[in-house]
Amino acid sequence: MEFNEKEIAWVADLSKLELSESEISELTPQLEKILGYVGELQGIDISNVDPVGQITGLENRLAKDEVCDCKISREELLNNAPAQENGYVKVKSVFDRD
Amino acid sequence: MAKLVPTIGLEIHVQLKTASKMFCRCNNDAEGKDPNTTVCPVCMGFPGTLPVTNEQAIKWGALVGLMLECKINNFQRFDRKNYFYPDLPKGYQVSQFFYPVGENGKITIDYQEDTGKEPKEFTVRIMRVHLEEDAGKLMHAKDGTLVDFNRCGTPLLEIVTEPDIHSSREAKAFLQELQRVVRSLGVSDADMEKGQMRCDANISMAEEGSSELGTLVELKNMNSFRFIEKALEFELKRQTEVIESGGEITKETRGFDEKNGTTLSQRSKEEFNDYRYFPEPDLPPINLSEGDINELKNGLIELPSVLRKKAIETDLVYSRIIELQETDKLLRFVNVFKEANVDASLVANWVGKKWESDTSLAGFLQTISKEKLSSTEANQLYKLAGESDQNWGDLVSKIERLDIKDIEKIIDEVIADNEKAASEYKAGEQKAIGFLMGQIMKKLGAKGDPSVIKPLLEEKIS
Amino acid sequence: MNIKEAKQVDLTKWLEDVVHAQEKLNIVVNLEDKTGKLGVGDLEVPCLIKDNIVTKELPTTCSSKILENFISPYEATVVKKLKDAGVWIAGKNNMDEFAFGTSTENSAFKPTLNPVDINRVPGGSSGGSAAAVAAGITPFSLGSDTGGSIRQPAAFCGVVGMKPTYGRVSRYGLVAMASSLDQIGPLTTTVEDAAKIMEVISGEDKNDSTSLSEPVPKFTEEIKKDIKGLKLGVPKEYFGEGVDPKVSQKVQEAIEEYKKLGAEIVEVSLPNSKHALATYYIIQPAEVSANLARYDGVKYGFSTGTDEKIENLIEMYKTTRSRGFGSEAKRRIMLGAYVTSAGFRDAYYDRARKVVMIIKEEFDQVFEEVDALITPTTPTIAFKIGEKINDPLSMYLSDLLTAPANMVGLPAISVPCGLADGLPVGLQVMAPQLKDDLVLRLAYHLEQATLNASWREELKNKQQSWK
Ligand SMILES: [Mg+2]
Ligand SMILES: [Zn+2]
Repeated sequence: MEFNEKEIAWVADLSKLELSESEISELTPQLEKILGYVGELQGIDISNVDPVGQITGLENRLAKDEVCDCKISREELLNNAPAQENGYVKVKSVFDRD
Repeated sequence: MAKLVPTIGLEIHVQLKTASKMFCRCNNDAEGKDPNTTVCPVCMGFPGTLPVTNEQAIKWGALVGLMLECKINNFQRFDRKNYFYPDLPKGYQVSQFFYPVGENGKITIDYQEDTGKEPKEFTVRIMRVHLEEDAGKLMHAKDGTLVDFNRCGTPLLEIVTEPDIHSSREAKAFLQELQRVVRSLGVSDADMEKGQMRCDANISMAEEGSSELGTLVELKNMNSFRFIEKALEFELKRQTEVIESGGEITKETRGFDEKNGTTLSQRSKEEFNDYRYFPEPDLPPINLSEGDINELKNGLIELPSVLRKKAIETDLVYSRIIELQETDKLLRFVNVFKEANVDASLVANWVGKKWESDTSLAGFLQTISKEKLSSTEANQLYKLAGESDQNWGDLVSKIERLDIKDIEKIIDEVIADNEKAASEYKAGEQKAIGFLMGQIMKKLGAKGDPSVIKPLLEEKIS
Repeated sequence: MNIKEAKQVDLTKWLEDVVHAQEKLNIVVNLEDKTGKLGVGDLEVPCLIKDNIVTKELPTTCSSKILENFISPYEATVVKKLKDAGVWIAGKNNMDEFAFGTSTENSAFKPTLNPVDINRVPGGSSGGSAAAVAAGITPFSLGSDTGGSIRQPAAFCGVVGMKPTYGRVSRYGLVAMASSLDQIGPLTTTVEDAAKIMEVISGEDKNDSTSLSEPVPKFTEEIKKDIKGLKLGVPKEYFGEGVDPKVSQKVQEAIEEYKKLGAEIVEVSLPNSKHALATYYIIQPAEVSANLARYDGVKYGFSTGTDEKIENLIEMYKTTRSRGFGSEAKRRIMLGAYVTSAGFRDAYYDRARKVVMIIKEEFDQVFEEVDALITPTTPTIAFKIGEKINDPLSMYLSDLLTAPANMVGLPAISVPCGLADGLPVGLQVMAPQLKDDLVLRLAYHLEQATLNASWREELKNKQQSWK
């Protein structure tokens, strides 16, 4: 398994992570090694396996449509958030600042 | 150059009006509530929380699918659609990607391009219908973005059409029909202005007869029927102009600009979103038996188009049929028409009032028809009856009816008293008849019915 | 300290002991500073639980900087159940950040030391829990086990650790690592105590769609039924490559004990079990990458959102996450994003899920032949601090023998069975889904049969050596 720096950058972007040079040079061989290890599955014949199989066998776990007394107060919500304004949670602009 | 034909596919999100949300049991009704007041740890994605699927949403999803003639999947499963955005607390949306509610449906719709024109009919195939959870709402402030999470977790039904729509008018007709369907089922209010029904469009232009579609442009941010029509019209015109002047359409996402009635590019760069879908491990799959689906079929209602067909057979004008449907009176119209066996426009005139029952309205209409009541007299009768079912024969005897001879006598008197006005009218002065009518009405009082008097007056003067 | 003993403790004195142990071993992240109130019930004891189970009174950090001061607005189902039984949760055990690791060295705060030998790791990720139980500080702890995170540290520290059947215990309020694999379970001094805790925490929960509705047996009674005639499978692959022969030796000796107790020993084969760890290191990071997306600096936890220098949202996301997560978290998030990405999902994620079904099929067949399986819990005894920290893959291999039970949802327990090179060895019992009573019962009988074994005394002494 070859893992180049372009792929690292792409995966980091998907993950919203910003990696330093040293992190990249450390991670690249580590991920290569791990992917090499999990690559042992490639040889296994999976042609007869049910694609939607799952180990619990559970299905149809549904709840009645009844409102519960479970909401959190606005104060509790906003106090957890790093920034707030007029009852809203405030974040950095979704637009680029030019 | 051959004629350019537009092809439009729609992606519609409809909020379901369940009591609780899609995957948590906190209140789904955020209408008019302060921001961030209708949320719980689950829909806010607090660490350690888990989703639990709303049974009602599953049923309603399948019901809408059935209405749209979809093949309902016995096996349904939720997946995680991964992306980062501040309105999405968990960093993924739980949505049926691989195994949706239903697929391969269709709906046939009749509509009128303009009043007076013959109604047209077209069919839109439904690619898929699936359930998911809504995200929060963003507002843009000067120095940042504000988030209201109230809407987070509201059940959403996403309906994706095949590219079977060929004009902005058809798009609007399709959306209106879909709105009627979900409203009559009682699963959503589908008010576009309130965001209860939202629509994105994929538009392309190709030369007539071409087997390939043109470059796709995605159109977003159209939150009313009027805006959808406007945005599509603008975009179709824009694309036509680009192509006819030798240019090429860029694959992009454009948003509708309400202020200027135009569409603006939002993302021109060719971007591939990898949502990395995988099955939601917190939710076991859903397995509907044929019995479950058959049971749901009991909840099906008549399609709005079927009702319109019945109304069309009454010979009522098409535009009035649409009006009645918009105000939710069409079903009563059709039923009462059948029961009363009177003129369709008479039924249409009275179906909007309050009635105790269809039978009550039918009896009323039959009385009007049999007794040849003027509209003023009919109004008197309605007031006397007071919404409830009555012995109409008895009631008719209680209203003040004017003999035609009495009316003629009064008209003669007024003409005699106002010779000047009468001769003015004769000379072509239209205003004069208004004056004369006023005088006659004054004498007749509440009993006067202009629709009866006016022709008589005109006849007498000329 | 077992539960019975804990009922007698003076809480003020007890809290002092915890503080003392904390100074020596770093077993907790947050601790109550005052003596709290015990509830009313048949479990009126103080305890510590892993810091990825949410509590309202104490912060829940998952030993991560990104949740450093986070206090949950709600509490976990297991926390409610413990409180209802009378328990006072006095502190939250240290762990590998978000349960990523097998040594507790990945804690964003301080690594926990193994009380048996303070130069060695206690295992992980429930290392703080196992160390606290081994040190005699808490009568029990709750841990979480995704690939071995309860059983492996239990083995390294010489205590009992159980991973219940997937769904037996509600996960509501357990900060998710890999949702399809995570299970909360007890770490205790005795098997009877583990059975007791299982009785309290098991059961269906309307807040967890994957919790099981089957009635909860009276585990404390079930474990006492004898084991004569039970068929115990010994899968040869769990004693082979990568497993320290000294560890295998101790387990083989314990198997002799089972024979003496009247169990029938059958050699079985589970050739595909060796692939379980590879499936684990695909499915687990895949779910991790999604489960950790919520730590984005918008709603709670560490955030660069108020930093004037941060220009826009994307930059806020990236700086928050890069500064808030440790290196193992980043590694798994990246790995998970990769194996589920459009070009690679087929080859990795989808394939791994199918291989899991093959592994399950194999277990199902073996369980037609035998009642339970006996294996070592870990391939090695506790390793030295720092020994594997720069080699993630060798760290991952610690879960080689425990991950299969998670992949197929089986109940499994680790119970001490001897010492190798003076360090504890754990024996693992696995049984079919919902046979939680059986794994407890088999562990109980081994424990009772070896109560007077000479290694027991030595282990007890070593567990107190840190003082
Ligand atoms: Mg959608
Ligand atoms: Zn909620």
